[in-house]
Amino acid sequence: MASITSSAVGYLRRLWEHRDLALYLALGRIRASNAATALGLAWWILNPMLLAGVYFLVFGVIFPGARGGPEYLAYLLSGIFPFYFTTRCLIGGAASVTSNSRLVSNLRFPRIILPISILIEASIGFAASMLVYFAVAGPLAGYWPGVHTILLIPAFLLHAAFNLGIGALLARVAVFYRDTGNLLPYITRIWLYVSPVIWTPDRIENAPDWLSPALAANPMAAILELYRAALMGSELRQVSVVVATATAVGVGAAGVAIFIKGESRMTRYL
Amino acid sequence: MTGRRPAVRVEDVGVRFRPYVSRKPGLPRRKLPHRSRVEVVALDGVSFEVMKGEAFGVIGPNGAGKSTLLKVMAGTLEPDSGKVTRYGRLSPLLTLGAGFNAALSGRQNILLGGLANGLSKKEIEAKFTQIIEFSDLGDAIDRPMGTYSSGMFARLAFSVAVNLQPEILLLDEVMAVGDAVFRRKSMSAMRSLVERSGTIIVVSHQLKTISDLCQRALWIDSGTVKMVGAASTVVQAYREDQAAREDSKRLEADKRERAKRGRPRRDQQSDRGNVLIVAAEPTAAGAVYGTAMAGLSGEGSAYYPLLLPKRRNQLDSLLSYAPYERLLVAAESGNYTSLGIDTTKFHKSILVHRDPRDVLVEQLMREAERLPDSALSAGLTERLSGAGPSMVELMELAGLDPDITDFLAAMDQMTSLADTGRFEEIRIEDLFGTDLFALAGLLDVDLSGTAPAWSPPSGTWRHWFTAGDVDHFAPKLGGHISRLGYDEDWAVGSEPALVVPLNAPDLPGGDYTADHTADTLEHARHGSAAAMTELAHSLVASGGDVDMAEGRAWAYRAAIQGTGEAMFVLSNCFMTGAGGPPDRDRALFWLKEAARAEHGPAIEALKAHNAATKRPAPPTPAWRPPVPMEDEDEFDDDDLPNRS
Repeated sequence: MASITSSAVGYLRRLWEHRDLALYLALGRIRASNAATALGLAWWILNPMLLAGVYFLVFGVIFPGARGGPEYLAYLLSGIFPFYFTTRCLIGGAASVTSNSRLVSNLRFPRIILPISILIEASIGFAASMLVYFAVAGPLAGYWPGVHTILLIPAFLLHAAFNLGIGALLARVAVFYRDTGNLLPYITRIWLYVSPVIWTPDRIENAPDWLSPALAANPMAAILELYRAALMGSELRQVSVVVATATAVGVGAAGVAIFIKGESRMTRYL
Repeated sequence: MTGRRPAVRVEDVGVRFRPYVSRKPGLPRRKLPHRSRVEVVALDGVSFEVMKGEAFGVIGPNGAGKSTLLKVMAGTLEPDSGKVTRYGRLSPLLTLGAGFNAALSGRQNILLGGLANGLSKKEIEAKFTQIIEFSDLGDAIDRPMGTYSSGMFARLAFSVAVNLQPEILLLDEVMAVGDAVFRRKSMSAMRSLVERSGTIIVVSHQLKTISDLCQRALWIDSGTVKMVGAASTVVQAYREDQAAREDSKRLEADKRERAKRGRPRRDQQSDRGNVLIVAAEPTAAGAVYGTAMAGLSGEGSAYYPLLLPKRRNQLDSLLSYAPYERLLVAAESGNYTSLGIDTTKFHKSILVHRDPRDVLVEQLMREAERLPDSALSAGLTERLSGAGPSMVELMELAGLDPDITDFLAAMDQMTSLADTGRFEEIRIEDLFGTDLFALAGLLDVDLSGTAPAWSPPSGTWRHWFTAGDVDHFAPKLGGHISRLGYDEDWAVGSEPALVVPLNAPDLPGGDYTADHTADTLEHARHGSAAAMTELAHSLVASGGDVDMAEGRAWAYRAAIQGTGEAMFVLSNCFMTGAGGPPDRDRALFWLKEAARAEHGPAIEALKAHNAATKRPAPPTPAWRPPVPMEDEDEFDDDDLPNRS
């Protein structure tokens, strides 16, 4: 067993051998999650549509105001969909090992497969939500896909690395402290409010002095800026590219490394 | 088995878990459970080998460590110590269908199960038809597995496991799957796997399956290997052991039943109460001793046998809230010392120390058993029939230390234990063969009508020592023996005076304040219920934690002597949590007992209690603030929010 963690090459090889497992665990969950519903897989499109509908209702109809209107709705959705991608990876990732305890205690495979399969599942959901974005933002605000949309690919890759890192980290923590799962909904909620999802970055000036640096340091802000450049053609600052890349690579690598380091001790806590 | 190569080698493997536990297991929780970690030893120094081309069974009672062992072999659980080496590809489907998803169809699950076992998609597709045919599920294969019966589920899971053609197949409790036809089919599939020089390691409670299928078996209990060998032999030994346990349990149940029916009045028996027997001797003799003593406890109940050191935590929890009144420790003093039981909690406590000569005999026998054709074995047989070489000569033959230095060290410890005065009696006892019944009598335990499953061998070892042996050992042991008043009987054939009463036991050892006169304490120690009650009153009222605990103990001592007032004090202690954890049930129990003993205040209190519980609920006010639900359940680790 010691060889699993000590040899990175061996681990990668074993990971590659088990790549189908990650995919089919994710596909299996996707099929299973809507197996009992009448609309089945259509929910993967319906869920983000309903979400968009709710925000449209709140910010377009109830509080139209200055920030209302289709422009704002597009801004909102281009933030909320990526953010939900992260939330999914976070909450799913945290439970990925504990909820598969039977699998983990019975079978030998690189455990990182579990957070990876969560990432795959969430990515499919995210892809569906991107379709919904263009279906809504295109006709309403004129944000159709264009050349700038190619940016979506690097944005997604960096974002996925970031999500996997956090998911894997939380998965490890949750094995040893089950309390993690209870805290997450609140943490993600706060994170949503401190990220430029509902509010626009220029409003950061209105924030109290002590809060501004924290808001500016939020890696989610940089990632969202990438997405908005891809989805709305908005301005992309160089500093944001650097910050997004650095955090994605750093968090991704660190989270995965920390997860793998604790792998061998996990079974006994399940 | 010669010439075969190993498939799995387990070397000195140890596994310890540290689960969260409630500090007071077994009692209903009135407040938030206190969570702490307690170490559980699941495996301890386990070593064995499983060969290629062998079906190997693992048996043992629940909680023996079987599944943990399988997980360690599978490599999903890393042992704390020791090493596991695997030679060959493993199909560790320990729990059948571990990778299955009930919402998916059988077909999809075959893929999932195979992938989880490390096969590629292509390899699984090649075996698809074979697996489906073997499972005999027909069209059901395309239905979600959630609609399967448990038999169908197990059939598919087993089919996946066995058809993946692993080199080593690990199975946990799966032999009961399917109907008779399927069972036969799975048996023959497993046999042919073994014939192809594959290996099967199977955990099961179905002993017949083990002896039918397996060539060899391992019997594991409390995390240690009891026996490895031919499957039929091991299964037979295990069966006998189970039967013996069953007997002693029934005996205990009988006793309890009898006690319930014709319960003698408490006040007529001053020394009744539960006995805690700590057979802290990790030897066969200790276990036999504990077994024989259990179920003999008259009205109370006995707890046995607590073997060192892994049960230490159990002992703690027993001591913390179980009302054991009498303590009997059968241990070598070194072991006792590491137990560190606070004898002041007990009304009567006795330490039984193994006679060093007993240990000698046992060591010799063990050596002779190990070397069946040796001069030692022949000599010992002769000796046991009263002739042949002396014990000292036999020890030399066996390569044992004829100067018995380790016994002398144990005796040193025992002597110093005697000096602490923590026990009322220390006895040197032949745990190997003598009179368990006489010993039980010491604690006023009535043994009549009980028939222990074990009876001592005829004749006692004392007759085996020659005059020369006595001359050899006596001067060495002399210092200790005469110190403990044991010098008369180190002679061949004479009956030893076993009891070594110690003077002035200092019981209990609390540090009392000036509130109590020395007289009261003295009287209480000599058994005066009135004095005990007086002490209980003032100690409980004093409010200090230590004092209250002492007070509760005194109240208990007096209560079991039938003193109504003490019962009432005790009831209050349990109600308010003075001097220990509160316990409403026991509070009510003692309140009723006190009322039955016609203690005035108790009768009043009981009446008030009854009136309060029978009174109809007060009329509901128009509006009440919402009351949070009282959640008595311990936090459930599995109860995590589901991924959505």
